[in-house]
Amino acid sequence: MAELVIENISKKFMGKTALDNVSLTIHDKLFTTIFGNAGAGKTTLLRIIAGVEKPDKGKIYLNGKDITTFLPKDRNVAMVYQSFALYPHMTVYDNIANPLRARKMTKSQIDEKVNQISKSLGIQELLSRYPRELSGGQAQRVAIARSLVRDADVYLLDEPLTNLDYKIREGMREELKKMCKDFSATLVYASPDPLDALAMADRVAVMSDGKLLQYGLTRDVYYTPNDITVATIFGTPPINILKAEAREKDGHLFLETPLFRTDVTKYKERLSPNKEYKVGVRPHHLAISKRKVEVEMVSFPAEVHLTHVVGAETICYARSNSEEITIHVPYIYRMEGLEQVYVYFDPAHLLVFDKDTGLRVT
Amino acid sequence: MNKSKTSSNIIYVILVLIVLVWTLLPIYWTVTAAFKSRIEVVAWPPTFIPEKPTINWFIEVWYDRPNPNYYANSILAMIGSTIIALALGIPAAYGCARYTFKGRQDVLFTILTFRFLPPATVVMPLYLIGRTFHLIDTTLFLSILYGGMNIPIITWVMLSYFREIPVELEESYQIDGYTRFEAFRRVTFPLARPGMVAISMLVMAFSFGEFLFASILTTSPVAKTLPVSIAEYMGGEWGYMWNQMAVLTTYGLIPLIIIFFLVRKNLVRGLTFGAVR
Repeated sequence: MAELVIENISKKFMGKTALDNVSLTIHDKLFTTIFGNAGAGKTTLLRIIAGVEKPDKGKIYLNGKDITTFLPKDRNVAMVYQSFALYPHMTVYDNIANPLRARKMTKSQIDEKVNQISKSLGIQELLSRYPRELSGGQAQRVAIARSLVRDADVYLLDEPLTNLDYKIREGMREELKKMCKDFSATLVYASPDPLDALAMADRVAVMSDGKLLQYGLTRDVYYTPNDITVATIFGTPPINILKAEAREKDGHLFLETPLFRTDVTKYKERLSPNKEYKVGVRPHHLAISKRKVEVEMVSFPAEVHLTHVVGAETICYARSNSEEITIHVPYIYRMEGLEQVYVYFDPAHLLVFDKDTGLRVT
Repeated sequence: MNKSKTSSNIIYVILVLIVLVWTLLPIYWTVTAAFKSRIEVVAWPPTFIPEKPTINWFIEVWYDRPNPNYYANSILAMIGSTIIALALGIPAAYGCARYTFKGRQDVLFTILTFRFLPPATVVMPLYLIGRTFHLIDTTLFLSILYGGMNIPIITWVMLSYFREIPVELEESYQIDGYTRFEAFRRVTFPLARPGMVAISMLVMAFSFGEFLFASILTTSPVAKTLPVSIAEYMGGEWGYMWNQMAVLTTYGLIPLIIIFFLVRKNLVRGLTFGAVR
């Protein structure tokens, strides 16, 4: 049982705010992702949890115990660094065994544990090598093995996939997710990549400029972001944002954007007529058709000017009424020159934000 | 392709030979001079193998210098100064590499300024200081001075060494379950050891061979060092006594060669570590 409570943590470096009053509770045996762009404060937060950085303000509780002033060695928290931080003068075996030796285990116990973890991570053949003789993917597994070999309450992972190439990253995502379940570990994973969080995390905490913007179940944060910032940064390719204005006509309330008009009468209480808003719709909620089809959806014409195929999916960049729109379709779409298409989407996927505060209205 | 490889190999071999001759010839000449006769040592053209090797000069030096203190003094000053310089320079370098604090650059610059003055300009004040504290004619005084003079170079060399070792390694070691000191001792120290060994070699060679301070700040055999002893064979009624000087110089080479062979492995390992990082 591990519950990590972070309470009002603030931290400044040379007068610059790194963390601003961050509070969140990490739940037992869940995969939690701290998501945010570079400089959002993710790494600082992990370092404070690990104890290698001291917060200016705030407290950290692990299983109800205040560990704010504890030394790293007394916290029972493991961490994987982005740079892996393998000890270059020790073999892989000694690297993995290092935390166990600190716990005064017997030689045979250490042997058993190291062999067990290296087997489950597929690195048994590497045990006698030195870190400089490892590839990036191997070094990363060793770094993960070194933290998972411990019986830690919480495992912190600081962007462990960033230094790996695309192909290994895809595979490691699945493995990490599986590991979290297999070891029934409590994982806190910092990442600047929304895909990491979407693919692996049970819960996600979205950070920006040292502030915690939203924390909740991954799908909740994705589908119902608190505000326009969360909606913009948490999702790839980024959400399409358009200006909109609410207008009342014949007892119906409409949202008008430069591209389309949609009936929002059911949100009447939350939207006021003749007020400006911002609306967002995620690229993968948009569909493309070369012919106009009659469906119960919002549609508008657009001109695709660039496509980018990722795996078996395509990101289309389109222009319509001088607005740039990104459309993410789950198939390979090849265009021949500029193409006139119709873009469709279900108005249920439309997110409406207050123009001034950025908060989500519907 | 093959041809150019061969020719670059030839150039490489020639360069190595030049360096070897450059380095080893003076040593060879000095050592053989200790076995040559008084005439042969100044003969022209010089002989490369002593015609009638003799150990007379070793015997003469032995009787001439009944008190071998000068040798021990040099070794003491060498060890003492190296310990002092390392004990003060390494913490300074580590502190400046790992912590950001106000005035860090000033501290580093101040340490560097210790080497700005030519030693000859400070030797008189040092004599007066030494006299006040009754340190004239002691190896302790030499150790302190040599140590102090070498703190800047140790601090600056080790500073860049420590900076190159990622702080994450130490942090990770602490998260693994160790104290900060253990992390330093088992991670940073072994990784920085090649640098420490190399820089210690420099300090030792400097302290062992220093002449100016030793000649002025020591006056009796109690603290006189090997270089001063060698200089005493210069001039005087017998003129330059090359043979005796060669004997003492040969003695002087021994400890440095021994130390080099002891730490050779560390130096080589240091090179391979640097190459992969």
